[in-house]
Amino acid sequence: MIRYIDGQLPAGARRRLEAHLIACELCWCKYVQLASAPADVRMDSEEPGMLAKLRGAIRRWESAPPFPSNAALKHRIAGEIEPYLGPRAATSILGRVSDSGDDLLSTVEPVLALFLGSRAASKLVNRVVESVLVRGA
Amino acid sequence: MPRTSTVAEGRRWLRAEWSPGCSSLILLGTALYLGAGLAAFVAYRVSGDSSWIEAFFHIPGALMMVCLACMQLGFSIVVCRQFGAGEPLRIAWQLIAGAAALELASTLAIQIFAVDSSLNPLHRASWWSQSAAQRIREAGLIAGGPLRFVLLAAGLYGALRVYRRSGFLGNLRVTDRVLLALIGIYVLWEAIDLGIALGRGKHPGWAEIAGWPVDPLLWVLLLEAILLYRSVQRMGASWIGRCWISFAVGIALVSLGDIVIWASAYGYLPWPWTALEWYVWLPAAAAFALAPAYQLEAIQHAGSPTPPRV
Repeated sequence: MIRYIDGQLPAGARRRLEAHLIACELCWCKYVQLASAPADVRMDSEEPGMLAKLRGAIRRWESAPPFPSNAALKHRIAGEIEPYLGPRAATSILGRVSDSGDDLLSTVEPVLALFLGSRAASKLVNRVVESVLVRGA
Repeated sequence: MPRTSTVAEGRRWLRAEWSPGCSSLILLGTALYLGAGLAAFVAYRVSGDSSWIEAFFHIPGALMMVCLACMQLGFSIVVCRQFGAGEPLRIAWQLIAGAAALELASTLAIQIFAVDSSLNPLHRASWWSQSAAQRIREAGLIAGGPLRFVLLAAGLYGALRVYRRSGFLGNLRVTDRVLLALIGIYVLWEAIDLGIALGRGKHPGWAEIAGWPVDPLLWVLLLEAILLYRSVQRMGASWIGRCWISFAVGIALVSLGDIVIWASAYGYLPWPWTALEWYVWLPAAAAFALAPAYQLEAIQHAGSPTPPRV
């Protein structure tokens, strides 16, 4: 998020983070908090151990393979949501997502919220983002 | 590795790999009870002593029915709280929780307070009599019949609206339409029979009148159950699907019980098939308890760090 605020995030990762910020209230609050602080404060406010971890994470992010294609990404997200909605529903919902994938989370989350409630759907989407978009990238 | 850490590892493994949810416990408990009930039936058939059956249904069977009704109500209330104000399934689950409360009241009335057994605390009261027990039973039948079915039908309608809104509402097939038509004819036939009886001077009591809407309501519930089943089929097997399929199974079993009662009363069903009526209510109650348990498990898994296995 810090790299995003500093304008250092690659275009693909930037788009996905923006999509997540629209959907996740918690991350949005964190973003507003970080964006309103000056860059030096942002770095100083972190614990020393945390800063090392953050740098390590950024290095790993940079050395990680590029984001999977949209089709592969959709396939992986379908795998994450199908235990809740069913395989046919997961495929059908992801079929409604545009080719660019910009509306991926905004398409999936409302359907999950209908059946699981907003709170559980938000937690599930956060987990999907974490496992597919961040860890799986 | 030190022994303490091995034990801790073992505990962690047990929690992660073998953590039976509420649904597994309900299924296991119901299977054990049904097994015991069938054993009691076999003992009765072999010995000719009906006390085997009476002993099973008066105490362990009654306790299990109350326990399942409690679980249905408890889980439904917890599920309600998982949905925010204004969310469409919150209203549906509120209605379902209302139906579960009526089911619990009905089960307590029919299985405990209207029965001459050691479980009944009213049995020793000075005012208790067979006619008082009959009134309690009738009140239980009304609470667990038309009143409960109205709330349940409204709740399931709310669920079907959610399926429609998501674009996954299923369609009725030809076989579904034939089944619904046959049950519709049965309901109509009963209504005609009743009309004839009233024309011949029958004077029904208030309890009988209150029970008249049961069969039309069961028809509506069956329609909803089939639509839910088709919707779940359309989406594929899932935690959410299990919840609504459980309601569909519960409604199908209640309808079967209703038809068996009617067929036994009119002599269409020979003994020992009539005994089916005794055993159908336990799995029906289990199905209604399983439904909110599955929904709750889906919600809990959604918030947990590891995805579930379906």
